[in-house]
Amino acid sequence: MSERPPLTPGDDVRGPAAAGDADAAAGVTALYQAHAVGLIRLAIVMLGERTAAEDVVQDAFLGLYRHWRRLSDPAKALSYVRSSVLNGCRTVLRARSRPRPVEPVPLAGQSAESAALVSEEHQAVLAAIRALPGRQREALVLRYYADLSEAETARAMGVSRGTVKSTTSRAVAALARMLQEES
Amino acid sequence: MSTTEDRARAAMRAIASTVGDAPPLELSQPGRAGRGGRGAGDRSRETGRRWRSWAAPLTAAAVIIAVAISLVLVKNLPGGDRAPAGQATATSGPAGSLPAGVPRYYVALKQIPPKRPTYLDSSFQYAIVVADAGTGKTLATFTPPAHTIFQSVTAAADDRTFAVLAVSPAGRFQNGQGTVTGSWYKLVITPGSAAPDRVRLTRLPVKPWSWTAALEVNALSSPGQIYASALSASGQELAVADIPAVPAASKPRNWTEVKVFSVATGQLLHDWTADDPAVRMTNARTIWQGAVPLGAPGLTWIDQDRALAVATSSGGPGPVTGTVRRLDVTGPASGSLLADSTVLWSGQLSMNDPGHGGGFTLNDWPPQVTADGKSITGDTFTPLGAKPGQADFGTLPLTAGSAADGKLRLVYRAVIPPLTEGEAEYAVVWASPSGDTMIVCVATGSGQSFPQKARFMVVSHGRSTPLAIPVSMVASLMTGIAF
Repeated sequence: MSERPPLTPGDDVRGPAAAGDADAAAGVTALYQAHAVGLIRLAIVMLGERTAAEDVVQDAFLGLYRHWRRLSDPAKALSYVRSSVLNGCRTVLRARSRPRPVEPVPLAGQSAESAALVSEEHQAVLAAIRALPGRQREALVLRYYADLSEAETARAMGVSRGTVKSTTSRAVAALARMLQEES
Repeated sequence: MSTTEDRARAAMRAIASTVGDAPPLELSQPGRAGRGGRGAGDRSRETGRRWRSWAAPLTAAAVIIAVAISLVLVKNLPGGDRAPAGQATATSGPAGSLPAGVPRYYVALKQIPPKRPTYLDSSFQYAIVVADAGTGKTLATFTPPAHTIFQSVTAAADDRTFAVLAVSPAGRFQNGQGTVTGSWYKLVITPGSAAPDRVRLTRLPVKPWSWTAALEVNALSSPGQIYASALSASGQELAVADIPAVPAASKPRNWTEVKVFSVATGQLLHDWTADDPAVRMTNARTIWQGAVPLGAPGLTWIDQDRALAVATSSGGPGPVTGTVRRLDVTGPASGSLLADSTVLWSGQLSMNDPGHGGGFTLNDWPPQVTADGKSITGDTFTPLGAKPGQADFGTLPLTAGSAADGKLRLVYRAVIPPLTEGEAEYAVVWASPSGDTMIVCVATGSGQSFPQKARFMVVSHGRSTPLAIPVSMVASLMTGIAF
């Protein structure tokens, strides 16, 4: 039996063979039903926008489905998809940071609803978090929203624990500065 | 004073808490760009929101088979040419080879094996499949969210906009009863020229409501129970027929309510109720489908969205009377379904036996009312001497007193010669505004394996055009497919 190559989020490989489709569909759907809401929440914290958050999560599960045959350990599916969500968020954030010829279309429905449900104080804090550099924001979200340990955060971000510690510290300091300046 | 960390944590949890559910998962085949391709953020910026639109549904990638549809001889019997020329509700796109005026896209609820038994059916759940009827290309597939069953689909007249009713149980059923909640999703297709077609599924802002559902066949109606949904031709209003949420409605089955909601805001625009045996929504199809009905098309928007045709049935066991009422949406409303509506047709529904000689049949009730509000279409006419398996579709006038002399005057009729595959079931799943063009389905098979084959085709004035719709779309015909 040949060893399966390691799976990396973002790999572009063939999708499941027809015969394995049912298994892949069942596995991915079960994981989606159990964790989609939590992952969309994570993505909306990162991106501040539900539409993009749902798209990122959808993409992550789609990637999982396409890679299902190469998933050596189904128990790792959740961490794989969580990493994919983070990757997707980074992609969105990178794209946002580039100059754009056209302004984004205002989002209706969910975003307006979300905005109405979040207080002004929280919105101010969220705006400051969104102004942080991507890596700082990611560290902050994983540490203080997802409540991941330094080690878990390091694994999710693909950096060392020391980097997590220093990045988080800089993020909190920058956030405090921005909030102080605002008030 | 709270620390910066506390403030950050509280703010992040606040925005996270605005997410209460996840949209249906769409899984599709390869074909999109992977690494190096456009990311979700790009799509979101450009389109507001967009789900992928790839080729085949994964849950049945091995099942979706293009059915070889043979050309079927369609006889255009006398009367067919008298069908008025109606205004097309949709145009066929360049990708397909559909007759003018026939919708190109359809949305169907396709059976998929459930991961666990559902409250309603231990064998199946349904995925939403969006496809091109001309080419057979599947544009998108959406699997249901957890604990949700897609139940019925209804279409606007623009060939782009659809609404899907979803029902979710709250916990396990006890003694065959449980609380379920109904809600709707809006599905919009944006055809692409260079880029792939886009399909977007979003939840409608109509506030969901709950009712007590029972697994027992022929169970009593329950306040709130939804019987039918109908999207207006413009796609701007959603009409819903249900049992009104009044305590008395849980006893006799005579209560009926028709509501109209704004699709854009979810606001309740109109609300009519009635407590009368003549307008109750229960019908043969609903009873057979169990206590959570599949949204049989008892409602149809007619007359350019100025009115609703409300089809009801009463009586039985024994003779069953069918009634179609016109409920004006634009006129003054008293809130009384009876006072604000007029009877378009009322009469006894036949059992479709060859000796009866034709008529509106119980099997095909509630009917497909044409958008002009003047006729109904269906497999309504069984001529004397018809051979087993012969499909006979007709358009019949829907005018007061049309059945007074016991003879219905056929407006348009198409006959498909006998099929050879065994048992057959027929249905009209779409009709043009005048009823002279229909999309029909003939499904064949036997026993547990029914349906084994299916032919979807456009029939119009002596011609038939096969459609590339697979047999797997037959599962929830009538309410489970919309054009």
